[in-house]
Amino acid sequence: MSNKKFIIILLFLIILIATQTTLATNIPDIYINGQNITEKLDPIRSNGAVLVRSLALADSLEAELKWLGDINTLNITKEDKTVKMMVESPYIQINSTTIRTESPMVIKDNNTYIPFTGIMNVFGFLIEYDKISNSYYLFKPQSFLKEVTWGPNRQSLVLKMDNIAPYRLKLTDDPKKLIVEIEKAALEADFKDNVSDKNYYFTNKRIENQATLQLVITSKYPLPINSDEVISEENGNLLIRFMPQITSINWQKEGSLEIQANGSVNKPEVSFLEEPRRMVLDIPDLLLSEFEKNLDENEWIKDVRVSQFQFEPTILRIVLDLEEEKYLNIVQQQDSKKIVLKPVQRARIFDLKYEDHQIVFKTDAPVEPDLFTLEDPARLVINLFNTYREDNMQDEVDIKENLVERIRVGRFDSQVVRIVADLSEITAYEWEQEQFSKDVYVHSIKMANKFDDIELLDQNLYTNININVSGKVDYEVKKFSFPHRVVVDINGKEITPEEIDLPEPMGIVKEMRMSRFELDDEEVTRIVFELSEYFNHNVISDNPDSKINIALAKSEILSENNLIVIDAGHGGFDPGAVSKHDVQEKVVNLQIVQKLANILRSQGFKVLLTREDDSFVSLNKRVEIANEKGARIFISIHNNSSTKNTSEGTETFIAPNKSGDSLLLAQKIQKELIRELCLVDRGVKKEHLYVIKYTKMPAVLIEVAFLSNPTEEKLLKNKEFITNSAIAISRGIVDYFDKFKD
Amino acid sequence: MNKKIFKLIITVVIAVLIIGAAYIFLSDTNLFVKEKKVNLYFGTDDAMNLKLEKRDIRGRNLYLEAVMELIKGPTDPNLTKTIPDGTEVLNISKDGDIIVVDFNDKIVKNHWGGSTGERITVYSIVNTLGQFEKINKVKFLIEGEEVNTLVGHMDLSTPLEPNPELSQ
Ligand SMILES: [Zn+2]
Repeated sequence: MSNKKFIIILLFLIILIATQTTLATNIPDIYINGQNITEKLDPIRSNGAVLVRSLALADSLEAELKWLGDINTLNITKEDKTVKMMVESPYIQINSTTIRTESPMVIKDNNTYIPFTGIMNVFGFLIEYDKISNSYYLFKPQSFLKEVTWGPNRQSLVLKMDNIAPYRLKLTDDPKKLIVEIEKAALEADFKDNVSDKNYYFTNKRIENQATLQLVITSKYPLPINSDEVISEENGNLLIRFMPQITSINWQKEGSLEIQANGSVNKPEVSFLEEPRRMVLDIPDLLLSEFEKNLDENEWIKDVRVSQFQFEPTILRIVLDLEEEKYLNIVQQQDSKKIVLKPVQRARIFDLKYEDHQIVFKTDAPVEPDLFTLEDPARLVINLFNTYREDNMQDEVDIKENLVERIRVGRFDSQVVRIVADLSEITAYEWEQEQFSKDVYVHSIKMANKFDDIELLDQNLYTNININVSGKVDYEVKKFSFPHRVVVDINGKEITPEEIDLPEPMGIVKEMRMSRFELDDEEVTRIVFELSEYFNHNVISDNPDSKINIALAKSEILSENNLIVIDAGHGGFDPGAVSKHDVQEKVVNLQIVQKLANILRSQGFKVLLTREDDSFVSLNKRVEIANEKGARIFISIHNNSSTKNTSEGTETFIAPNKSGDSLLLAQKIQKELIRELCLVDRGVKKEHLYVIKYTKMPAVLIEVAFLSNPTEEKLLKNKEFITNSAIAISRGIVDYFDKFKD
Repeated sequence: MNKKIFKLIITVVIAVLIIGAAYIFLSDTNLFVKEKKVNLYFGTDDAMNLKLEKRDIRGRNLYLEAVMELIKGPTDPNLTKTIPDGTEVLNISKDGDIIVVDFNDKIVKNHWGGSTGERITVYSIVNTLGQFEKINKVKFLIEGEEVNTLVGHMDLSTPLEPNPELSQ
């Protein structure tokens, strides 16, 4: 053999081996329950999908195969499941559902080859694909989900399983969405979804190339879950726990008030308020719901009001309007689902003394005193409701200590004993009650202020400064420029000079420092907040107060009244409609919105934009901004598009669930736009458009003109047209507000 | 009896039996085709309304076939297509009186936009599927996911009822 020939043959062999190898890696290995059945199934590739020989697959599945040549259709039947597929159609029909598979069935060498993963899924196999070895592993599910249903009182979601497989909960950024993943699990054939309704939506998904069942629960409202103990096993089922809800508030014949929930209730924080006399219970992690209320005839409580005071953390607030001079107390309860309040017997006060820098006294029943400080002269007042003093109790205790000079005891009114401590200066205090024996409760009151903590909170529109002090302090907030900074001075005598950790800078606060110095012979604790920019600040707390709260506006000063929220449609990666000459809707919308905002501001309106630049803002966020700021009206600006370039004109939408003011506003704006722009009047229409449907104030969505229409596209590129549109819309708005004058 | 006549009768009987069996067999497959006239709603020229085009549908799944016909677009040159190119149905199922249609993301990515454009797309599907017996609402999914909107205007977070005002 000549060298030449040898080389040619060698090259040929190399090419052959190379192509063989690429072919081999292209065709995957297939394992069922650990057994390699690649050869039997004879997998081929078509349009990137893996197809296998139908006869072999049916044999492996022990399924029946029927070929209907006349209609190019293949039926595979196993038990009660029949899959029908046609040559060249990627759709397969399984009993009454139709799904799309990865590839149409093909005919090769007189054999039908069918989409492999699609069919195996249908027959209940779970598929895992290992990229590295290019292998498919098929398993039968190791557990089945039989039903998803509500637990008692809708307080939990129950995932009924035949046995529990490894599971995990995935919290999403969306508080309305919850994902549970269960390994090697599947839905049972007659799986029941008893959860989806108008507020909840349950769906399941397979994660591609993984034998994991993904369950997605979406709710219309934020899901009331406690992120710590959301999911657990119970009686062989998986349980997703929601927070308990209040179910009833009833006055009991034996003379007590019972607050009942459908799950265990945390200890409430109780406070008393006067004028009118109220008792406030703040209960953590309890939800508001429809609840039964029955106060009957009673001489203690006039009325009860319940509200969801706060989310994140969740707090339910119950306010009891008490009769004059009446007083209730929480009684310890065996039943964790209940809070019971009983009218308090008058308690006896005795053994008043001052020891270890504490005011100490005893009562024969639990008492929640009302404590507060007064100035000029500085004193601490302790009001003890529904109490009386022991006959031989002294009227005065002289101390002459640093802070506390004297303690006096008096009667405030027929129901209240008042203890007054004369102080050398206003100081914070800490009250504690301890049960000493069956009828003896020891109260101790420790004096002195200290910083509890300093926190920064960055929100949409404000960066908030919270300075929490153990007692009320006198303070002053000052603003300095060059650089912008806000300074909080706290009277130093009122606070112990201890160090406290300053929080990480956040929002427009870029640096903080704390110092102590003397000013006009007074000691002062100063906290300086350096700002990256400044618009306006608002001291929300009282003075003096124990929680100093300052809101730093992050943009133009916002007034709640006459606030107009203007929404430029689309933005960021969402260009909206795009014209033939690449004019993007998001750009035009923003141009009109900025013009409109300028005009309205010059007329004295407060204006807030949902976006000020080319950024993406979700529809939900847009709604949230308007609702949170309590806008008077909401104006969304868009430009239209259609498949035909002849579509033209101006239209204004309102939501079908709103009318009245929204309709009036829409009519005013539409009228002005038509008068000014002289385009075709498409009228005012009602439609379920997201931003105008979920905003709580009168809202309109304006489609100024069609970007898909060449004439109108040209207009939308013209600055004068943009200005005229904004002027017309502003006139409509002014006209609308004029209707509300006198 | 004449043998010839007897043979003929036997042949006829067997033929009838075979044809009958074939008929029963084929109709059982549910593929032996149901042909049905359905109303398809397409856009009008001015994008103000929907107008119906009647079409014969042959197929296994009326809901799917109807949506696939909508995707193909109108035959009447005076009407406009309502669903963008490349759109495919990934899944269609019936849940009580609701049809849940799952589209691929081309219905979003290739959409021309505009409140009007989106409205016509959505109601062309909802009004078309709403014609079927016991169907009152249509729910949209994109790539298997719930969505708040198609292209930034319509609220698709809840199932939609047909809008008869659009298709007079
Ligand atoms: Zn738009």
